[in-house]
Amino acid sequence: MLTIQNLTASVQDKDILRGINLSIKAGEVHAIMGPNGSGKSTLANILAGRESYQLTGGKVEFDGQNLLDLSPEERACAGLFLGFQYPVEIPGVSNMTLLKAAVNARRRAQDLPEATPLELLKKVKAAAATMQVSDAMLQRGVNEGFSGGEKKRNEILQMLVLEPRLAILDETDSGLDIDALKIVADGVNALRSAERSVVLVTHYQRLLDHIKPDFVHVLAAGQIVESGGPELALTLEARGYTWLTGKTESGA
Amino acid sequence: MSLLHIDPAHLRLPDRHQEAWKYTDLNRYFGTRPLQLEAAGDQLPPDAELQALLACSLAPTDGYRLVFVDGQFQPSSSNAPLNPQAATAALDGSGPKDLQDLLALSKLRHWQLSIETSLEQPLYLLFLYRKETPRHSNTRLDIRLAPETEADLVEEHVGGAAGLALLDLNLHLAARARLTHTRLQHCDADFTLLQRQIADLQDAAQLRQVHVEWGARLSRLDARIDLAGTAARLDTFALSGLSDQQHVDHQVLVRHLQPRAISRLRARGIVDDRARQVFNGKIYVERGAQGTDSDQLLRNLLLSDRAEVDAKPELEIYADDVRCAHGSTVGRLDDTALFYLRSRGIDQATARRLLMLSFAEWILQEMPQESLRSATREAFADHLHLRLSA
Repeated sequence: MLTIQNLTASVQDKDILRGINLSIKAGEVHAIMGPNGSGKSTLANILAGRESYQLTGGKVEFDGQNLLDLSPEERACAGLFLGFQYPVEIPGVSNMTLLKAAVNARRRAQDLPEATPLELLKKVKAAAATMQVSDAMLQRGVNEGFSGGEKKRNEILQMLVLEPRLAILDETDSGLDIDALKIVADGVNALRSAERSVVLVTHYQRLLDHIKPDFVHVLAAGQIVESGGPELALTLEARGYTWLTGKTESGA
Repeated sequence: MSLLHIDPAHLRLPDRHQEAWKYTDLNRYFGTRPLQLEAAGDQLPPDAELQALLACSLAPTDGYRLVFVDGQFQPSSSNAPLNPQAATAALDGSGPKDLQDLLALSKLRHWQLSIETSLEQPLYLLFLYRKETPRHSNTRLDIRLAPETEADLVEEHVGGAAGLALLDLNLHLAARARLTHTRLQHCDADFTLLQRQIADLQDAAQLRQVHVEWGARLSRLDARIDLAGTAARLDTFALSGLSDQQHVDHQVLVRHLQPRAISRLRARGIVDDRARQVFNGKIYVERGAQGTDSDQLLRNLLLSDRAEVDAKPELEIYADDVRCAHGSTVGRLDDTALFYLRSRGIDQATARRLLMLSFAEWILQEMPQESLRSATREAFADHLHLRLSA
């Protein structure tokens, strides 16, 4: 589904990604872990089309298309979703307005008729029930006055309504208490299927207790320095990231 | 009926050499426009014309209404439990000197409205300006609230074609009176409105204002608000949405004359095309006005390279125990928010529209009445072509 080949990127002439290679097949859940500043969020944002980075090399293919040629909205309409580490507050634009515009943009791209109000409402209600988001919150402006945990739940709610082919969740677990973490995990697990893939970008292992990944990758200094199964996350938890520092330098 | 052909060369008009008119040079403005105006008459407009003008108003029909056509009060179209009285008393002073030549061209209509008991319903002051022949009018309305009364006032300006209106709308709030004052200006694209407002607030009086403007070719507001009593409170919210060559200029002076008064000023503008937004907010704190708490925040969005914003917050403080803050930003839409919406599949143009509506909503949400707020939001969005297609 997604193939990343030797992707390099920089910000203000500082190299952030230094040759990322990664292949994700339909149905798989990948966790990308790594210390702060390793380039995890940069990778997630570049995949979603954020323009504040200089892409200096490499290729990314998503469902047979050259992903890097597409605008952020084209990527979303092609089935890519980014769950933001810091979701943006947009007062005055209700959550429903955003969801309606987003769902219908995707539908138009697929040459489907727009969702009827009833269809949309059903879908949103179901997602809201899973994510324990109240009607009152749905009526409010996008993330307006939401707590950190509510914002993250709202991200997953949007994901459930949009049903992406590939969801990239950027530190969705940060700042969540254990109850909220479980709700978020339930939401992500509800989306899992043989056709959909998930990339979990995270600093900590605890999210992976609730969402079991197929693969775990460790990103350090802009490169994937280690890949393995779920057991790799446990090793990291026990030994910390410093265990891998040597590997980064030998790779550079 | 008198049709005036005014040669701007024979008028002394304020120009950019006067600090208060630095960005709104009326000499230059009228120099490029024909000033061929009919003086507003006393006769009623034909009913069809009146109805057409009323249809432009956003005000709901269920409140109290006072209708003015070119500054002339129209009792037959009004339904409020109180009517403005024509003032017969001689005017104090001689009016604003800077506009004297313009004032001299028109007959002054001077009204007084006394609110002696709290109003049960919102009071709508509809200022309609006839469209047939461009007219000029000159109106003064003094509104007084008795002690401890409460009122919700909506002032709306509609119509006008290429006419010119001068309006002084003054507010006197006696002790502990509370007034909510909404001002909507969506006159015709070629209209000129020069408005002044002098307000004074006595002890513990509260004035809450929301100004929203998206009409007229040139709209100027000179406001002086005196917090003349202790512990008075002023909240002012202003929003403008300008396109083409529209020009809106607010000169606001807030004077803290007694201790412990509070003033808050929030102004936002969305400025597109070759439009220009001027906002000069000055806070003056008199010696002895201790415990003053005042701030003003100006935020403007520039949507075009040829649009212009001139925003100046000013402070002049002669007391020592005060909290005063001010800030002004001019910017473009937030990149992160834009990316957030686009990452949901929303195209760039729609995402921009949503963010502009969001920017405006900070002020619109302060409008007290739900139905009027949503009507205003839609009209405002239409003016800036922000309405969503889906």
